Amino acid sequence: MSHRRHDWTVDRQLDQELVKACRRGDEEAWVVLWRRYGPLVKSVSRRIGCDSEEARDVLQRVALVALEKLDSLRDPKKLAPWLAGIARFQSFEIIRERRPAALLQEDTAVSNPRYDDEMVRTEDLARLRQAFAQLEERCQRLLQRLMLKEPPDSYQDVARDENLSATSIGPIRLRCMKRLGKLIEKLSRSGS
Amino acid sequence: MDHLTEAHIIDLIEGEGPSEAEAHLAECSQCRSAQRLWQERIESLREMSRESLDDAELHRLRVLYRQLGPGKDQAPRWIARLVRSSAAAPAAARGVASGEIMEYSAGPYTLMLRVGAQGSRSTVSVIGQIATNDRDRGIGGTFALTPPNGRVRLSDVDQFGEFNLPEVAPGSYRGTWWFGDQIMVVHDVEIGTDDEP
Amino acid sequence: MTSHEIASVVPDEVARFLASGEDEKAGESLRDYAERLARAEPGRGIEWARKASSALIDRPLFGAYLKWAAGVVHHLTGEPARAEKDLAQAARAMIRCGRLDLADRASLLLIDCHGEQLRLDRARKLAQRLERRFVQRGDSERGAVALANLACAEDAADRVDRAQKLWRRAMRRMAPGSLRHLLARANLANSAALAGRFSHASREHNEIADVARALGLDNLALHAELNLAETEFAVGRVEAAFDLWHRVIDSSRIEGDIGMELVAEIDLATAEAEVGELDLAEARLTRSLPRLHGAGLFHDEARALRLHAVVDGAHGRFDRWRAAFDSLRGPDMQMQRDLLTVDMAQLDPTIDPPDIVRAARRLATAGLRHRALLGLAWAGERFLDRGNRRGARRCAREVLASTRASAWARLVSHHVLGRMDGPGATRHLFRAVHWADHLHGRLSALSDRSAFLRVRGDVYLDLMATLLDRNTSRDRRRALDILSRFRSSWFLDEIERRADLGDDPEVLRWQDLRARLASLLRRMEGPDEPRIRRFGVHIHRELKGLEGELLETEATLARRIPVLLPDAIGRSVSTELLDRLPRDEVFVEYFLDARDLVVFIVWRGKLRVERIRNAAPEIRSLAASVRFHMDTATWREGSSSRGSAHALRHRLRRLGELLLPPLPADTWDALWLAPHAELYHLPWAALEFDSGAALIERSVFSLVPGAGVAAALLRDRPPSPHRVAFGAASTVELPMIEKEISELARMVDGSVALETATRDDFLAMLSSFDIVHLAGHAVVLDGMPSASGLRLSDGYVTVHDLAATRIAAKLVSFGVCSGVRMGDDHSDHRYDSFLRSLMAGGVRSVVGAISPVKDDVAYAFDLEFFRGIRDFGNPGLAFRAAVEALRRLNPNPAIWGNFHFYGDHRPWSVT
Repeated sequence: MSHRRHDWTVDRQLDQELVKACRRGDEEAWVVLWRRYGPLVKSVSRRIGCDSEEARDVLQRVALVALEKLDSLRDPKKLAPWLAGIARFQSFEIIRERRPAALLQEDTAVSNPRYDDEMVRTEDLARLRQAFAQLEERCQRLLQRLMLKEPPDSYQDVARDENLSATSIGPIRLRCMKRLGKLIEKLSRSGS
Repeated sequence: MDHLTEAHIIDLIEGEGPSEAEAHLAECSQCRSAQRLWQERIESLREMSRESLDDAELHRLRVLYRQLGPGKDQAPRWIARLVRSSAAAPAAARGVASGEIMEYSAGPYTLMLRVGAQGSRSTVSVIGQIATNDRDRGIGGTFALTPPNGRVRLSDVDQFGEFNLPEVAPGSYRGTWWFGDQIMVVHDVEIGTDDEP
Repeated sequence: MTSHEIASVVPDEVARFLASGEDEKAGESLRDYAERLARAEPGRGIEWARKASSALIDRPLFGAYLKWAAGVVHHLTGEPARAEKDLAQAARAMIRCGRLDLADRASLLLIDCHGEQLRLDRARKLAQRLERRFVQRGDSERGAVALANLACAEDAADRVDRAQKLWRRAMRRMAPGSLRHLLARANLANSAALAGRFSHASREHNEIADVARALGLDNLALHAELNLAETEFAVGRVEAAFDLWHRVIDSSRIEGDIGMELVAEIDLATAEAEVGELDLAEARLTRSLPRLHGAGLFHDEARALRLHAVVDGAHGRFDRWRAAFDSLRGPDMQMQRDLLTVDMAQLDPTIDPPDIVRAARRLATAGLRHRALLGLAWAGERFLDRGNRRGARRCAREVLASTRASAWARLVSHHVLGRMDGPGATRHLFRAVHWADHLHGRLSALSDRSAFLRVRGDVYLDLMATLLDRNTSRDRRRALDILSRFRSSWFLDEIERRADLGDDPEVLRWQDLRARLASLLRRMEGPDEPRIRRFGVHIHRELKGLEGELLETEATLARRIPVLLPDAIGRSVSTELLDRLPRDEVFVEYFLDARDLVVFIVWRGKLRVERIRNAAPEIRSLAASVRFHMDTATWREGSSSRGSAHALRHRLRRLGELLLPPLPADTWDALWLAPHAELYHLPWAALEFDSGAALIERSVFSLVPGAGVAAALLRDRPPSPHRVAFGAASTVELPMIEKEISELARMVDGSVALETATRDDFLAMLSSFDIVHLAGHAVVLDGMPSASGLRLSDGYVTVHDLAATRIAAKLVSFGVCSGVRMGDDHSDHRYDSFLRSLMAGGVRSVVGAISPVKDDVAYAFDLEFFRGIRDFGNPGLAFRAAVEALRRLNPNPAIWGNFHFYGDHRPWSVT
């Protein structure tokens, strides 16, 4: 099986729609859901202190729990924080099961979390990812290529692919980020 | 200068923006924390981007959904039946090592499972191999052990048809093998303990 | 208080005294009643005490007695703060009545209450005052009670020496045979037990029980038996201890003494947890907890909750401990909560370090410094987990600076500091290893022990890794020494220790258990042979229990004899090996840690180390696959067999790519190979070099448990064997055995052959012959290797039998599958296979198959091997010839790679 990583696909289905579709038996919706939020789950587990093997295991466990409990998710708009919360719990479980020989490995995320803050940071992460998914497609593509990709694409390449002038890229990017900021705030207000 | 606009802050992150903006930052803690906020957001997004899933992971998630999801029931192609087991029919060997061997047949395929000893642990290891005499058929895919309630165990099947499931809790399972659009189902796989039932 | 109210609080005989105006008699009677009530029905007692304590009565003396009685109840039911209040009030009221004598008597118990709250200064002052006054009054007995109570207070604060002195002083003034004297004696015995003088404590408790029973003090006798059970357990007389506990439980049930019954249940559950019967302990605790709560025994309930949480934790379940924590409500329970936090800090890595530190500080203030320091040590560990080095360093340093830190706390703290860069990190790791050696098998608390078993390996490996990073030649040698110590020091100890074991009752018990195990295995085979085949054998609870008991006994025996480690007397394993390994021979030791493969190579007087990063996961996965194929080989036919051989060869080639490159490129005469854990079970003979040649083609080689063993084998000259014996236990299903034995007997002049050897025959062969071969059948239990058995005509020989036999044989060969198979538990336990028990008994070479082997294959191999023995006088060459002969018969590596040669491969001295 290839190990090509899937780019952070831009897909426009709202979380609510995805959840409904998964409940109906739509396998593709399930895949889209995980393309969108799989990285969130793994990020959460890395921050808590899991290494990359364990993060993969957490993903599997979270998927299982999510599948079993999908029907009981009352507010499908809260899919992202819900998944993040499950990820947090499963990460702790894995850490406890850890064989002692697997101590801090070099690739463990060293973000030095204070565990009291952990809850808060998990929610932030979920909100961030959810907001990003609500951006319009072009914004998602642009930000992905210009800021998240390592190394980022050049303005020229992006302009050419998006059929824009190179000088307009900057301002568009700025608008997208401001929009992202607003979406994050909106989610925070409606959230807790 | 008043506090920086969001636009300035974002620009500053990219290393653009007027120098007065940078000077202001040096003195203004509010703007500094706004900048930090954006930096963190971008860093977090990058982090998540790095964690994007690969083919194998997505395939496994698909299998999970097919196994346990609300999908329409697909009639499996083959249902395996137990042909031999070391519990019933030992080979003429000098001595016995603990651990059970089970052999199944399903269509053109055979499945052999070896369950390791439990000892003082609460789980056992399960290693298996799928084989076929038919050279036109490939081997690969995913093998899953599903208990009636609880965690599904999944493993990739390699080019030799082998798969490995360490730390399986004793119990009664359904085994499923997916490869392309082929499915093999093994009912009532008894992963036992060392104890007599 | 109306007469009606009085009636509700006061039993009839007391009321009668009151009615006739005999207030003092009423009071004394009331107090006795209260004590009885508190012991028999603690819940009711507490209810009563609340009422009594708040009752207002206009008869001051009696009122004071009410308070006194309430105080007694509160003291007995574990509420020292309340008791203190009541007793103080009682004393004051007595003084107001002009009865200083009674006030003093009431205050005696107050000493205890101060002690329980660890207010030692108050306790001391009060005790001194009371003693003086009693002595002035001529009541020296009560003066002694004051001392005895103070002793309890000192004891509660870990001031054991002072406590013992005080008890002795008190006892000198008490009438021997009096209840008080007995109580003081019991306390002294308990104290001796705490100080480790278990046999003395046992004797004392035994006598106290007898005396108490003779005096009709059944309750005290039961108490003594309870204490006796603990000391018996501590010396390892587990069965006796369990019997006692059960007896106490039964007797208390009959007597209706709920308190005693439940305390015994908790003690028994603790013991069950310690011997590993976690399920039993759990069941017992689950039954007892609600009863404890109902009976109002909060202190013991707290103990039980703590134990329950730790048992869960040892099982890897952490959900319940927080619930337990929350249910220990109230300021009285703070200490219990803190103790629980410290216990769980060792097991649950998600507990917040600042919480642990806070708990530790409170425990220190409360006087439990020992436990407090342990908590601090683990807080350091958790800080380090989270990357907070400053916090980790502070905690660890504070622990090490204290004189009261236990060995265990020190180990943890040294380990923490050893993993941080900085001056002296290596020195800390050495200290940690030192403590790890010291503590092996010595920790009693379940939480400590579980945590130790997990941490121990890390300690050795971290030191080894640090030494390898430094990479000087001296450090490489030390790294190999550490590995030896960790993985195979038992072997060398065993050889040194195999002396007379004498008439020690523990040894007799061990022998008895072994005999039972052998006969049990025999009982389990039966006409229904297939029943045994499932998982090898159906393991009944009895078998499991026996095996567990055997291991316990052995652990006890091991504890008694101090463990000597080569390093302690200045011998370095690697230096010895470097000195003794012949110039043209190679030694290689393979070790897998979590991520890397570490290879030690000794060649031409130099020690080299290679660390192949991130190779471990792949190697482990390959090893599991190889084992799968080897173990299923006898089962397969036709295309299944071919497919398996194909996959197996692929794995072996890949393993060859990973494992063989560190070997020297030049030619060598012989290879000593020491693979650890999963690497053991590989068909080493069949591993391939780049050139395609198999290892067996390259040279003679043998496997050894480790560098230390190789050095020990090289110290002596190879033997020159004369007498050869062949034994067999043939069966109808294995027809080649009989043929094999008769042909072998013909082949080797002067040999002795027994086609139906009994257990005794085989053990006798081992004691009298130089070369012994056994052909037959065996049951090897990977999960429980010490319960495995070699089948002879009248039963099974187990590893324990081998361990107890004086073995003279120098070479033992198994024409039995899995004769050299090792268990799955990759520990360094000495009894986890026949192989180890033989080598530890002095056998220098052992040959056999690691996976099941077919009858005809074993026949072919054995004949070839002994032909070689006869012709070459060189066991290594004989082995090689036999393997190559098999290979010509069948190219499947699962068949010909199945055989291992273990130990000394050198040619025998010619006589």
